[in-house]
Amino acid sequence: MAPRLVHSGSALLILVIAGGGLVLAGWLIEAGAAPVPLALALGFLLVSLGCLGVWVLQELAWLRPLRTLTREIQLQIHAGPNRRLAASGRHALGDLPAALAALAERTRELRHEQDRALREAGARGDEQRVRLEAVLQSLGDGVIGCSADRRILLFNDAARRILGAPPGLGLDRPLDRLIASGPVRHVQRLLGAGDDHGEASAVSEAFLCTTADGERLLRCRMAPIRRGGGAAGFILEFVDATAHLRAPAGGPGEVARRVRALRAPAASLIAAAEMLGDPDLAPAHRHDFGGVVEREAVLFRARLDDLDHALGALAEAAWPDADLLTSDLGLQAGHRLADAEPPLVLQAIGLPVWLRGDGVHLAMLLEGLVRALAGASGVTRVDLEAARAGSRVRLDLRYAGSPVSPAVLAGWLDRDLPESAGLQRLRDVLERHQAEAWSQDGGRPEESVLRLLLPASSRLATGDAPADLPPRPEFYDFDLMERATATPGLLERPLASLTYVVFDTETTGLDPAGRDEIVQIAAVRIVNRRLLSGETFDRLVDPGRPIPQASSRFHGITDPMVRGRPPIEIALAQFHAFAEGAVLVAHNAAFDLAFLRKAEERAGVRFDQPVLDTLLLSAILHDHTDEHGLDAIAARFGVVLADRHQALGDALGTAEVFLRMIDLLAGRGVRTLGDALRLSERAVALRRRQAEAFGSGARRGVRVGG
Amino acid sequence: MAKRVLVVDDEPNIVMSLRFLMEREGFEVEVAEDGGAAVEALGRAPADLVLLDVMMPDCDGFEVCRRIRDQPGWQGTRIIMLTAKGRDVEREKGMALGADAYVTKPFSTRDLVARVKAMLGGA
Repeated sequence: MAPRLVHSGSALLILVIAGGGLVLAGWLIEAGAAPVPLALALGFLLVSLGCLGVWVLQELAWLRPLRTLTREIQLQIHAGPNRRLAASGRHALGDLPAALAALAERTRELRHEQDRALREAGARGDEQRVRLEAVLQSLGDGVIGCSADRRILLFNDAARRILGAPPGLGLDRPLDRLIASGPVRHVQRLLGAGDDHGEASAVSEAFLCTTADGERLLRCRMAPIRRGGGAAGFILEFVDATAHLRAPAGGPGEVARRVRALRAPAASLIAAAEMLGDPDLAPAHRHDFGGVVEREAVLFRARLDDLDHALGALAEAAWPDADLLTSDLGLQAGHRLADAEPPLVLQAIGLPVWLRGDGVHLAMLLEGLVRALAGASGVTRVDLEAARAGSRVRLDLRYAGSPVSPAVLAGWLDRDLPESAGLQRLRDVLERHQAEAWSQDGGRPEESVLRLLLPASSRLATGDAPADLPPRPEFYDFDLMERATATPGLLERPLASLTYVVFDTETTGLDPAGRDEIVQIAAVRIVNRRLLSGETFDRLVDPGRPIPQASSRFHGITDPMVRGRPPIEIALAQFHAFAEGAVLVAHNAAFDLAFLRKAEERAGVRFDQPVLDTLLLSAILHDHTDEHGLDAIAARFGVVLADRHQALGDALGTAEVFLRMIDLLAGRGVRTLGDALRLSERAVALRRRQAEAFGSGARRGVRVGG
Repeated sequence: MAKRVLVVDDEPNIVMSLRFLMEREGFEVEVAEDGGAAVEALGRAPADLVLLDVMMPDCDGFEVCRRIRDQPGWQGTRIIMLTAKGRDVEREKGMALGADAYVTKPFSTRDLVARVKAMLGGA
């Protein structure tokens, strides 16, 4: 604004002075006071003088102060916070310098405040960092913090000491140069995949890995650093396990080997002693067996010492064992096989079983065996099937082809593990779990199994829900079941050929028409009669209301567990995507469906696929009894249910039961989906009539049962 | 004619006792020191029963067991596996691969003789 004023002001002055000069020249000429040229020159001089005066005035009053002000502002921008805006001397800028000075002063104050706040925050951060460092440095365990791509963010002295002060240990350096990346990446993936089971793991089970140079063996645990739902990195905590596990006598496998070594001289000793007890023994034989006893006794004592040594070492070493689901083990091994060429698919089928062992190594063992199978026979698909056998778990790698001979399998087991992780060969993983492996006929045409016998977990017994739980009401409701808009031809498809999603829900209570809501929804897929226990859906849901204690006692889900979980709108949309294109199956399906339907509109989805109910199918198949609860049906089919009253456990159990029913239904001439649905309708009508006959029909569709 | 028993073990001291024991019961005894030799011996003259140690270098007892069961002519041969692993897991493996019985070392010679005699119908 000011410069424009100055310019228009000075332009006006120039006009006035120039006009004055011209008027003066005209007057001098007219008056004849001076000759024309002189008058003109005088006028011109006057005009020039006027202009000069105006220029000087403009320079002193406006332009110079403005330049000064500009320099001052520029200085203010770049100078430290303590510089004040210098006031200029005489000027015609009015309040402008004062206003600018005030502005600068205010900016200076703000800057001071900001600096002070930053200093304080910095001091607090420093304090926290110092404290954290003190804690880290005082730990005897090595600690390394890493970003998701395994670059080092922090580490402590113990880490440096345990790793042998390697030059590669520094901030922003890759962890992979220090610690074998295989097991670390494996566990990273496991922790990242924690969401698949509803619960994100806070810290991994202990696992073993070596330093990158293979010199040291580390026993590690990993805790993910989460930010905004994703994994931003992890903290790796480790101890040096080299001494424990690599000692000449280390590990359960080594102890087993030494016990075995002891049995041979024991057998010779006992046999010889018993021969010596024979009164009719010829003197020559007596001498021979006496020699055997002498020699074998020396051997026996030496091997006993060995065993003692190994046992001592074992007591010190803590082996990282954990409860594992066989389906998870299959997933882990499957991940490890993903980069194989041609691609190898390992698919967990059937009901998963809890086993106890070292997951990282077992996954490596499975990977190694599948790779060997593929290399030898060209198979690219292997199924992983598990069954509990007493205190053991039978883990079968099922493939198309003939059994592998023990000699060939022994050769495979002598192969090295894919990565250095404490154990060297595949065989060591078996030894370490006191396990056996062999191959035999698969019991189905053209199929064989490679069977592993591994230690079972004690979970099954402890995971069972109390037996005195209230039964769920049995629901049946035509409207709920009859919404299916089956794609043409679907009804004619054989039951055995369809894709199913078997699901179960846990709820706040038993009244879907009232205020009760879903707290957990879980499902598993059946494709081509194979229960894909690796393809599961499991979500905890925030019901938006408190979970009554009686219900928590039933399914074990409490308010804190669902806090912060997605609402049903989100979980239902996800489940809808999981179930797309599949026939839905549930036990007492109408109960679960009622809860699903209730939230459909809010979730913006519609479950319009056909639904089969194992309770109704059981009522038809086993009409000799009224026991159609999931436990009773499972018992009839010899299916062992684990994790009962947890949505995923129940969904898996229902799926296993449903698979057995498909065979039984075929035997009764029920082959297609249409047949099964018609049969179900008949069962609904029958049960409704029965219910009404017993007088409980007033509350439509509800009867206490299964 | 005496029944033939093949003893397969690579430890001479236990072989000495087993040979003595079986001969005392009136069986004809042959000894093989490893799996390969056992299969060769059976090829020369079939045995009625094989006392088969599991742990042998190269061709182990399981492999011998499978080879015996793969031969159509040797189906009548009874197999008792002798093992140094005192665990049920190995027993299941041995039975799955075709063994008739499974005996853990050390064993009672009296029990072993009783089992052999039961399998061979008293000899």
